Amino acid sequence: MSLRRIFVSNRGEIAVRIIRACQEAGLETVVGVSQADQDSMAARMADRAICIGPASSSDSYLNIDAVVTAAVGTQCDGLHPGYGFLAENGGLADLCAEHGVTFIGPKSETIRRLGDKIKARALAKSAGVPVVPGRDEVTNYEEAEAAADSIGFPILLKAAAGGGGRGMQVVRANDGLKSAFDTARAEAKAAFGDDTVYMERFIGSARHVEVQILGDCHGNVIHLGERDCTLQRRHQKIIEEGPATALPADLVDNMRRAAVELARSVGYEGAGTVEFIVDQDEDEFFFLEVNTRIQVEHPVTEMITGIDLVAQQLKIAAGKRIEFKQEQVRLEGHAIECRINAEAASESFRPSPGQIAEWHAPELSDVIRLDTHCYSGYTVPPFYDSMLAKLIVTGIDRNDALKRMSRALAAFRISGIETTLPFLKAIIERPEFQSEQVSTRWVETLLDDPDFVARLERSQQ
Amino acid sequence: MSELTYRDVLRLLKLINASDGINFDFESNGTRIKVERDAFQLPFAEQAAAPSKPGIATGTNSDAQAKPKTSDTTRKTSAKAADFPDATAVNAPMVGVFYAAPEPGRPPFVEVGSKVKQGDQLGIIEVMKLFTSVTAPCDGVVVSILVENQQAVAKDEVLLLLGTS
Repeated sequence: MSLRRIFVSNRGEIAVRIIRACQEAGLETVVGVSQADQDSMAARMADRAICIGPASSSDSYLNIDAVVTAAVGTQCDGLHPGYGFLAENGGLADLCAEHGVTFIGPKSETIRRLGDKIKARALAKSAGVPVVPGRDEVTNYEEAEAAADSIGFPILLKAAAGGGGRGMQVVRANDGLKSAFDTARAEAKAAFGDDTVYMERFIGSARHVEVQILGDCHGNVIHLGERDCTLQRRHQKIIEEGPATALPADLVDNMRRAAVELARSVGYEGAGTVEFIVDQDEDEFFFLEVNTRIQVEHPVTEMITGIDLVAQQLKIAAGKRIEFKQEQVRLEGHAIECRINAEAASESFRPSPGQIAEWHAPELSDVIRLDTHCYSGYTVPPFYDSMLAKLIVTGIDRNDALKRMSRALAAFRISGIETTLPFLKAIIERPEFQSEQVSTRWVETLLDDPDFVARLERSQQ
Repeated sequence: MSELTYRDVLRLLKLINASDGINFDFESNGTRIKVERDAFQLPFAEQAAAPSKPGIATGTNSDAQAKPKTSDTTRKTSAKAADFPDATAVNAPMVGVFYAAPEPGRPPFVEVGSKVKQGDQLGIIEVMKLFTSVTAPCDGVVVSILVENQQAVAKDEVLLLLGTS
C-alpha cells in the first residue's frame, strides 16, 4: 500500500511541519482549516486548503464528521492528526478506517487502551514496567481512606479519564483527604463526565522524562532515546532537552527498555511516547502514560538522532518496515527546545493574541532549527493555544547547547504581541537549570520569588 | 426561468467563489440552492476599524453593486444600548470567545430578566484556552444580552446590559 494525498487535520506549526514532511516524501497535501485560519501559513503551503468550520475549535478542528467528510471529499488516502485536537481520538481513527482513509497513528484499539489511564497502568504493570504505588477506580470515600493507608502520604488524586493537569489534587495528611477527594471527584465529573478517581503516591522531587518509540506493523519496536521535560508550569512543558544527562546511565537504560517492552506488548504501530516520572531522591522511575501521537517536542529527538519522525510515521502508516535497527540508532550531542508562547510571563502568563509587527528569527543552520507558522504581519488568533514557535538547538554537549540557546534567544526579536522570550532567557541563565538541580515544580517556585518576577517585568518592557 | 445550463452553473459558482461574504438563495425548477458565507474577521479593534471588503449582492451579472458590509451585530449592539440609557454595560475584559453557559447543553448563566447580585457569574471569555469569568459589577436585572453564545468578541465590547431592579 502506498499513500498519495494526505489530509492534514491540524493547524499552527505542526500543520506546517507535516506539510513539509509530505512534500519531501512526494505526497500531495490538503489542509483542513477553520475560518480563522484560511490565510494561515499551512493553508498557503498545502496543495489545497479546505474550510472545515467556524473559528471555534469545537466546530472545526474537533468536529470529527467535518474532518473526515473533508478528507474523503478531497480524495485523500491518508490523514495526519498532528497533536492535540483529535490526535488521540479513537473515534477519528475508526471513522477514517470506515471510509478507506489511512489514519497516520496507532490502531484505534491501541489509542483507546493507552488513552484510559487505568487500563494503561494495568498494561504497564503486566509488561513489567514499574508504576507509582497507587489505587485504581476509587469511587467512594471509604475506598479512598483504605487506599491512602496502603499508599502513604503525600498522595495525588486525579481523574481516571483525564489528561494534562485537570482534576488533580495533592493531599499531604489524613485530615485533608475528604475535601480533596470531593473536589477531585467534582472536577473529574465536570471536565470528563466521569467521576472515577485514581490515587497514587505523590513524588516530592520529580523529573519528567519520556522515551520516544517507533513501532511498525511487522512487529518491530525500537526507541529513539529520551527527552527530559522537567521544566513545566501548570503541567505545561516549557523547555525540553535530550538525552537525559541529569540521570544515572543505568536508570536511563532501564527506562528505555521498559518503554520498548510496553510498546511491544500492545503491538504498537507508529510514533509514540512513553512518559515516566523519576523520583530524584530514590533514583527510581515510574510509568506515567503513553501519548499515541507525534509530540510537540519531537524535534529534540530528531536533532540528536538525525531521524525525521514525521517521515517515519508516513512510512509506517503505508505498511513499510522501520528501516533501521536499534543498534543503528545513534544519539549524538545534546538538543534543547524552547517553546515560545504569546503570553506575558510577568503578568501571570496572560495570553497575548494580536498582530505580530516584527518577527525576526535568529539565523537558522544545522544546529539551530525553528518550527513555526508565524511571520511579520501575521495575526495570532485568540481561539487556539498560545504557542508561536519552537526554537531548537544542538551542541556537542549540554553546555555547548545551552550557550547556543542563549545566543539564539538573544537574537530573536518579536514585537506587537507579548511573548515568553524574556522568560525563557531568564530561565536558561539560572544556575539551577544550568546545573540540572531542578524538579517539575521548580519553575513555579521561581515564579513565587518576587526578585525573579521583578526582573522579568523589567525585561518585558 | 428556463432550465439551467452548464454555463449558468459555472457562472454562479464563480460568483460565489469571488466573494468573501455572500448570502445566496437561488431557485430554479423546484431545485433550491442556498449558500451563506460570512466574511470572517478576527475580533481585534484595529481590524474591525479597517474598511471591510465589499460583499456581492445577489444577482446574475458580475457588475452587481458592491456595498460595504458593516457588521450587523455592531449596529444591533449600539441600537440596543441606546434603548437602555440608564443600564450598566458589562464589557468583555479581553478579546476572545464568549460563552453564555458553563458548558454546552447546560442552561445559560443568565437570561433577559434574570436578577443578579454583584459578583454573580454572567458568562465566560475564553482566550487561548484560558477561561475568565465575567461577573456582575453591581446588583441588577439583565435587560439585554448583546452577544451570542460562542461569539468572538473584541476587548471592551459590550456583552450585556444590567438595569436597576
